[in-house]
Amino acid sequence: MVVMNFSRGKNPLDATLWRCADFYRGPVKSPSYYMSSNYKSSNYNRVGKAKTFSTRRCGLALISTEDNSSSPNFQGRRGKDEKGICIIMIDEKMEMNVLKDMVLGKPAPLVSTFRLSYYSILNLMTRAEGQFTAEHVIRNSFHQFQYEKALPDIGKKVSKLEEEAAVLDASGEAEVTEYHKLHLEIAQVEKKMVAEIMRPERVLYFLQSGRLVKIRGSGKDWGWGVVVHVVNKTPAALGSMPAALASSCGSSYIVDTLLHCSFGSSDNGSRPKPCPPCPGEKGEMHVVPVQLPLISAVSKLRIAVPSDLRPTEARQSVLLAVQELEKRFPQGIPKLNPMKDMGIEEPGVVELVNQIEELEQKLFSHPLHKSQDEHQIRSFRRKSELNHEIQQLKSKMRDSQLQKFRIELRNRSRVLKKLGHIDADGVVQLKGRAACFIDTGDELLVTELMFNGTFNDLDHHQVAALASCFIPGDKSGKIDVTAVLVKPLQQLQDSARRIAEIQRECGLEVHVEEYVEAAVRPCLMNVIHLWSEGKSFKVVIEETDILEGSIIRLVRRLDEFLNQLKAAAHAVGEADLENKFAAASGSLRRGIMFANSLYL
Amino acid sequence: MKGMQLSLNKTQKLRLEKALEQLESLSSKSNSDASVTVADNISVDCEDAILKGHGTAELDGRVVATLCGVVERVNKLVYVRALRARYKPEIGDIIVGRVIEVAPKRWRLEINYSQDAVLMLSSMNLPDGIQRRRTGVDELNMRSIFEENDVICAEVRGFQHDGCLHLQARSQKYGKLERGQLLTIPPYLVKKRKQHFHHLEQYGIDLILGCNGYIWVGEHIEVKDPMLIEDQSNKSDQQNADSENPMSTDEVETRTQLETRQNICRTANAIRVLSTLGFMITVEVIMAIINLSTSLNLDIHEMLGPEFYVLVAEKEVERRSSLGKRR
Repeated sequence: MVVMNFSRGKNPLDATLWRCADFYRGPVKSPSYYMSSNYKSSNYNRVGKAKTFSTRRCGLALISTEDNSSSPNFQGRRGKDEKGICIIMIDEKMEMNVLKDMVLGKPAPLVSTFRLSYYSILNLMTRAEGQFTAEHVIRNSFHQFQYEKALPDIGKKVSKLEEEAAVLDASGEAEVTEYHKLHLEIAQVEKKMVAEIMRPERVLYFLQSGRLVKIRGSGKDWGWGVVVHVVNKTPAALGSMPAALASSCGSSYIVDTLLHCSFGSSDNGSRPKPCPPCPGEKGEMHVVPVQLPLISAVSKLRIAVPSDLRPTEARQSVLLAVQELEKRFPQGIPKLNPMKDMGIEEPGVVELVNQIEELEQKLFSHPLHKSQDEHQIRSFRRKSELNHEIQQLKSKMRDSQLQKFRIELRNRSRVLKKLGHIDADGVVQLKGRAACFIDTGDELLVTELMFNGTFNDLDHHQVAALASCFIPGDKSGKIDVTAVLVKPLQQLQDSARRIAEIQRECGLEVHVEEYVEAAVRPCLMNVIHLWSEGKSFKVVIEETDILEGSIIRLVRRLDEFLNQLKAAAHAVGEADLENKFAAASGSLRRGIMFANSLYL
Repeated sequence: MKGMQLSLNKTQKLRLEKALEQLESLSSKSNSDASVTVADNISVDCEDAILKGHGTAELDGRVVATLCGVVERVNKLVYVRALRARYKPEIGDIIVGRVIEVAPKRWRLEINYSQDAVLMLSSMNLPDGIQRRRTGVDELNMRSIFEENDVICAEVRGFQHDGCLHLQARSQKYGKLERGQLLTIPPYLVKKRKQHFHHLEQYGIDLILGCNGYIWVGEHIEVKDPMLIEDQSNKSDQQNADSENPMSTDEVETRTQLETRQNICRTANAIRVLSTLGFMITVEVIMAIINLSTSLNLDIHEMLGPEFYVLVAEKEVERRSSLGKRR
């Protein structure tokens, strides 16, 4: 157990750790006293209580320094309490440096994630100044300030990189450029080919136990590993869902592979994070589940894998076998040829294979291939990397954020004009005024639904259930949609598709399918429907596997959202709809989900 | 055309009627089918998915109008837009109003609405410009900011649950209006636009078209950009401190020039003519009328004579037909 004494400006890991005064001027007792049942905290001034944390309560994540340093500050009485105590109970074995990091580390820097939303644009436009104010807001935002502050640093970085590039040896550059380009072309075509080969229906046949495969994933190159087992993982039963939704969540395959991992990756905490060993470092083989798309090549070779992989020696023997094979084939372990070995006959793939063969021939016949001057190639590679970085930084500097925002503002205004929220002069119309009230969910989408009459036929329970689709929350595999709500859900998807297409037409970078999928979140529709009808919390929880806290948070946000919808309906003048939203909000607000405190 | 008390002779009457007929014929025909009166049936295609907006009601399964006006449709929403109605405030409207009462921590303004609007002390910038809590001393000094019968420009901030209107005047553009005229016109003649503050440079006048039907025409006052004020406040503070006393007396002494005052009167008369004839008031129309009067070398008081009314009507016909041809 760690007890920290937070006083203004003092080092929390101070020697005076045991001053557990509870803002009640009583004698100091040992911490175990405070944890025991004798200690009735209600006897003391509740405002000045010491705050306790335990890692178990915070889930599996370690508390960051911000949580540590800020929460105790809020426990005291303003102006009266200068010092506060924070008691943290650690119930798992933890390394010393992790703890130090948690307690003494610097807080994460504040980075502005300012973005223009339709809600802010519409609200800025209803105020008389309109677009002038919008630009004023952007220019004076924290985002712009941070960008302008970082500008001179980027400039210095660019000049430094340019100096370094100038120093590097540039002799014989033309040949090296060509050689390098050939390499890049081969890599590109190979990537395309791999994407074709790695389709489950083609490759699964070859992924037998013992096959050597090359894994590249999450930025790390793992090298060659050995397949142990392939598992087909499908999400839980989809129930009666519209076909469009069902097809979007496909099944996925997991390949258990023996990979060379660095030491020490399995002892740290409950979640091992394997990483490939640094070159020259000794590691051991572990069975790692790998997703199918991460396989970058399949080899012709298969080795014998011992049936029991639990003892370390068995795995080490596999590692030695792989290393032996790598030594035997210095040019690279032979890969499966898609035409000859896998028997793929599709013309597209055949073309890709021919392309690769041609390029490889050109590569081998290139004069540089034989006389590989390591130093030259390395310096060339470094130089091209530097140039690339310089280009990126320069474009970042040139690309004034203000200009980007201005363009985005103009495009978004066009979207609003097309949808009818503002007229050609930029004056906000009735539809726009209704959309001004909504910010908890996707304002464009929900206004479209409202104005298309989707909410008219539903009773207030169903309205609450449909509205829950807009609130961002946890995803769950279990989705259950009642028959009445299938049609509104379909209308929701259609409207979402239409809006995404309009956005794309007006120049915003929106991926239509992604937008539609993200817009529809029917995970908790059934739960909300039951809760609105008046079922108990216990019954409602059993309907889904999402955590209770997430459900409660979502319901509270949903209540706020329904109130905003009510204000929007009032602005439009639809009394029926307004009453429906009010009834829906009222039917949700009861019981444990809206209890202000669990103790009173 | 309400309350037009002009003595037109025969020819003038004929000309005026002809002009008005032409205007009617120019107006778009599409909406003439959509005009309804109270208790008219509104045609709806599919009864189930219609949203009934303002000015409609459901009666025996039919949708009927409760106002006289034009039917507008937006997606599945049907509502009736009244042509001549009392002013209906929206959030963000620019309002010109007159102070009728100084109450604790607020001013009550009259704005041509069914209720008086309220401007809270906290929604108003303090004279020294510092952002701080309003203290009791500030409350006692409210009269030094605005008094009774002052004309103020403000923006609608929102509504209370009881329908009371709240205003805010936190920008340099808003605040007390001086050295000018306040005109009252029917509020439906002012359309909601992006810009309600106009500066007529050639005449040196400020024109504020309040959405509530109160229009302010006055001498142009420089509005300082608030960002610049922050930089300059340190420099100019010292300068001001030295030259404050002579400056204040100077301001009182400098009166509006004769020419500016004449321009103000001309603009005001133009607006009066337009409002009596019932034409929409926009900056372009006002400018056109002023140009017309100066080109004819009319005296300011002659603008309110019957001949000018007829001329204005004819000019309007020209303008609208030319607009129609351009489209």
